[in-house]
Amino acid sequence: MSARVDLLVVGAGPGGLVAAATAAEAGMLVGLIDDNPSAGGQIWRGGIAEENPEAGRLLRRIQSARAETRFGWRAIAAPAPRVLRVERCGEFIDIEYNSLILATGARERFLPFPGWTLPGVYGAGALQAFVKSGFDIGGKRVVVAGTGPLLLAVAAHLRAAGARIVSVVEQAPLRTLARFSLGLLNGQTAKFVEGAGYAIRTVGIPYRTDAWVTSASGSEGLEKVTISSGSRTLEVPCDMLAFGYHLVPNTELAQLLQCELEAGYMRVDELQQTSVTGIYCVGELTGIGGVVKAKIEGRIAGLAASGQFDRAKPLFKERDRHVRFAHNLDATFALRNELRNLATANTFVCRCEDVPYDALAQCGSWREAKLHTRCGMGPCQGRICGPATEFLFGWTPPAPRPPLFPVEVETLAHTTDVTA
Amino acid sequence: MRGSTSLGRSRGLSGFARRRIQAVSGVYTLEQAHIAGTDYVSRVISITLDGRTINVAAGTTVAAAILQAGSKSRTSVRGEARQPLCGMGICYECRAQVDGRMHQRTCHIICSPGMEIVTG
Repeated sequence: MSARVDLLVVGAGPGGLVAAATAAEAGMLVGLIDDNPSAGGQIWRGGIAEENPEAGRLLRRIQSARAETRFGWRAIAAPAPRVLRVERCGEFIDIEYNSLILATGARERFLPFPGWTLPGVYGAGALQAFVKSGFDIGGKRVVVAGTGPLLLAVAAHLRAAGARIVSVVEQAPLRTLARFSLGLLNGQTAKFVEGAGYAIRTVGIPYRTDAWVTSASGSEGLEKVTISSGSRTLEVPCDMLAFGYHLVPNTELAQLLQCELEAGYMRVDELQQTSVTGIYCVGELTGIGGVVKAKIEGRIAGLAASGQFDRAKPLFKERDRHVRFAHNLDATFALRNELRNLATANTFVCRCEDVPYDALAQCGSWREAKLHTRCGMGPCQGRICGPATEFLFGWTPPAPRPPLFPVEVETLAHTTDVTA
Repeated sequence: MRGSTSLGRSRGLSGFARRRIQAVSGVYTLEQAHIAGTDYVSRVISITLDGRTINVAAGTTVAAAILQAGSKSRTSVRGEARQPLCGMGICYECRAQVDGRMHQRTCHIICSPGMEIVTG
């Protein structure tokens, strides 16, 4: 990749791919990087024997224009204004850009409960990703639990791959879900149909609402989960638990670049531009709204970065509709208070450093917890325990510092070397 | 790119063969590969996991291979066996030694023939 591009796009999911294709076809020299080994992001993850067709089509459009792509590379620092340092396996380069589009997506929110560190307990989207990446789930008894529209999609996919879905456990109340589904009928027909499709494919699977997993147990790996459902407590034998409490945006890079947050998401104007001129955010960074929202925001940002404002304007209305949908999702799948009481005194909250709940409960802030317990100081740098402690204790993790990911010592040692 | 080397497209398999291969489970035996009626033999690769040889389909991530083998990926600071959690390169629970390189996120690495994985 040239050390200098007109537009750098970080993240090759739907938003990033559309943004890169739009700008590249307008004649800009575009750089596209992604931490993953291939294009598509999480939602367009291909199987081991196939690429996702939509991701493939967009990638070929990008690669046939004036663009360069790098997979397996991640942004770790911003050594100078309009320069991003990207790294892979100890190798790094600095890329200078005029404009930057961030499409760094989202991760699952994990809330700690007794047994959540046992082998056999995975993220919901994660287990789907493992199956797409070669893991044979045939015959495994799986509980899918947490909150959010992802749960049904995961259950449907795992079942199609041969898993026995024992139960889908959704913490949101049925009343809220019903209101949400009716809202979908009003102007979100496509999403309603998609949701209904999942519901039909998961017919026969016990779908519990107002319910959540309180613990997981087993001697060396998962053997059963305990579910709180209404006034009842159920013990459910299973081989795997796939769980996640909706999604949280990966805002670390945008924050490092001084872009401002608003209620947990990146604040953008109608052209997707952040508080920093020339830096745009698209997709889950501006609200968890899924693939259609990401694509239209990617299109708007790609048009804006290439100066085609008139072509962006007609897209605002539809984009705004998807942003409202994202707000509705957050409200529908808001976390219930009972989930704050799942972790017991010795439940690890920080998995990197094995910091138990009671050590954290004695601290007054994220900073204090970090100093006294090493919470958040492991390799995930608080990406897993940060959202958890935010929910459990109301702590706000401070803005991230470089390097954004752990890097090898040589990479750090050479930080002033390459600026050409 | 994984996509461009993807089975079937690059090898011109018929739709039937491709579907057949996709229907076969994630880890292939040589016998299954023959049943699939293709040259898929070359698409099964061997890696070693903590000294044990295991066969996986080409394109399998190291993290998926670790799960398939029922292995841990690492041992936590207080001695717990851990497996991959997030599947997207963020949690670092999947990290292991790959071809002598420490602390690699195995969910982001595709198995290659002869690759040596050592869990922590």
